[in-house]
Amino acid sequence: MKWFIEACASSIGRKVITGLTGLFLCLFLLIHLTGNLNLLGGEAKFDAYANFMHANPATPILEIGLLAGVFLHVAMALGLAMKNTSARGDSSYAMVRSKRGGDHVMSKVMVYTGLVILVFLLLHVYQMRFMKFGAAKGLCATGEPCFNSTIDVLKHAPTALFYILACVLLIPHVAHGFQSAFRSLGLHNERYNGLFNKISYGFALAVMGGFISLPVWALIKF
Amino acid sequence: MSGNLNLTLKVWRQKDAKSAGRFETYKVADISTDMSFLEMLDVLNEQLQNEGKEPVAFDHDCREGICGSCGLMINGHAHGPDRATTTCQLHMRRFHDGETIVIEPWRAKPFPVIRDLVVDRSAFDRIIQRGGYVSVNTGNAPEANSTPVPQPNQMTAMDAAACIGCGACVASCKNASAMLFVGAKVSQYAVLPQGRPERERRVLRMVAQMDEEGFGACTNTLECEAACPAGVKVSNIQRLNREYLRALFLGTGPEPSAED
Ligand code: FES
Repeated sequence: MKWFIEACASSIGRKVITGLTGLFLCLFLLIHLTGNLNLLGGEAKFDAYANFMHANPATPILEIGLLAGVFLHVAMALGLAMKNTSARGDSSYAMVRSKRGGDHVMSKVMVYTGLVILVFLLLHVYQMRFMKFGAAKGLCATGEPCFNSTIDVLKHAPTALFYILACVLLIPHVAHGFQSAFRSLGLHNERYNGLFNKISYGFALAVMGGFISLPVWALIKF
Repeated sequence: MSGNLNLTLKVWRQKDAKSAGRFETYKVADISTDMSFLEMLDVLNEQLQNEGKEPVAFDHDCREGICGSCGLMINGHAHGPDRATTTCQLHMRRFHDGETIVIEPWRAKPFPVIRDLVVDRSAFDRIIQRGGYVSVNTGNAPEANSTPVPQPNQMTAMDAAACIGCGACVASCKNASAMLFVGAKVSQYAVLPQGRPERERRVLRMVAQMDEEGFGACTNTLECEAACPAGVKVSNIQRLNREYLRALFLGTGPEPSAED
């Protein structure tokens, strides 16, 4: 069994874990967005949804799962990034150019987009779950109705702008990560390359577009 | 002669693995556009020798694109600007008169510079030693029909086996990852019946060695595929990942076992 654990720590093992947790987080994004779109339906609809989630015994389990997913994803990715940086050695090239052309930039910025998203995530969880923001009462963590407190967060201009920035950065992160995960899992092959790329971009744009619409809506409406 | 090139070369010079290196600037004149890049370096070296200076050390052997020794980073491109071309097959007609060409060795921690443009690529040999072989005694050339191999598998194996081990994938990868090389070597056996006996063990061992040597991990930037002079495809990396996962769940570990 020792070799099995070692294998999970190998470069491929770590890539697979990064990919699997990434796909899990993509699924979460989709579900989170579906739920959050209730906001657009107004106070009654959103509070009913919030109540359903708060009363749901599965919620704490899912929260722990999410926390573990985020932790593993970040830990594996940072470990790989460090390994990858050190692999070049002490002296780097005086001149490097791409022969591939195209959107190779995407994979190069994963760590940076990822780190901004992590900061966003910490802030977001703090603001939405643990903090009394603005005048409205109601705290998600305590299961109170939280439509008004959510709107207060979203219509706070600096917060909204940072939320939007994080969502914009998530577009390349998810678009590269989504298809990259399939490659790491060995599920990618030449026949599906084009299709996977299109799905990745489509998914990233659609989901992030949905999230961005929420603070934009709150800023305009309230 | 008209049409010939006068060039400025910025060449990495380094006495040995321990010394610090630096760029030296040289001028070469009247270079025929029909010369290969290595022949141009030969002209430079003759010139340096005539001046009583130390010639530039660079790796080369076959000069026909099949041995994989001649890797150079030329103006930021592994093996120069062309696709599917080794440095020895690169022609000077790809450059223009008056151009400055920056020539560097491969740079990766597992490929230390030994001298000038020559790097030590024995890390690749150690990966092959760890698992890139078949242990069945093949004997004389067998009757071709006794082991049927589907034609698509033949093609896949052959395309993977086109890898000449030059290291351009590592050199051009932002992570200095060797996964295209290892992927090609694992693939060429994985799809053939002759490679089956060690199928699981091979991939686990080669990847372990790859990590031990300090190569990076693939981030699917696909720069290796563009740089590969032998046209090895990144689908081999996906097969490597697949074979690795398969070995992890179906195999009996990296050591030989009676169950294999
Ligand atoms: S010298 Fe053999 S491939 Fe270039």
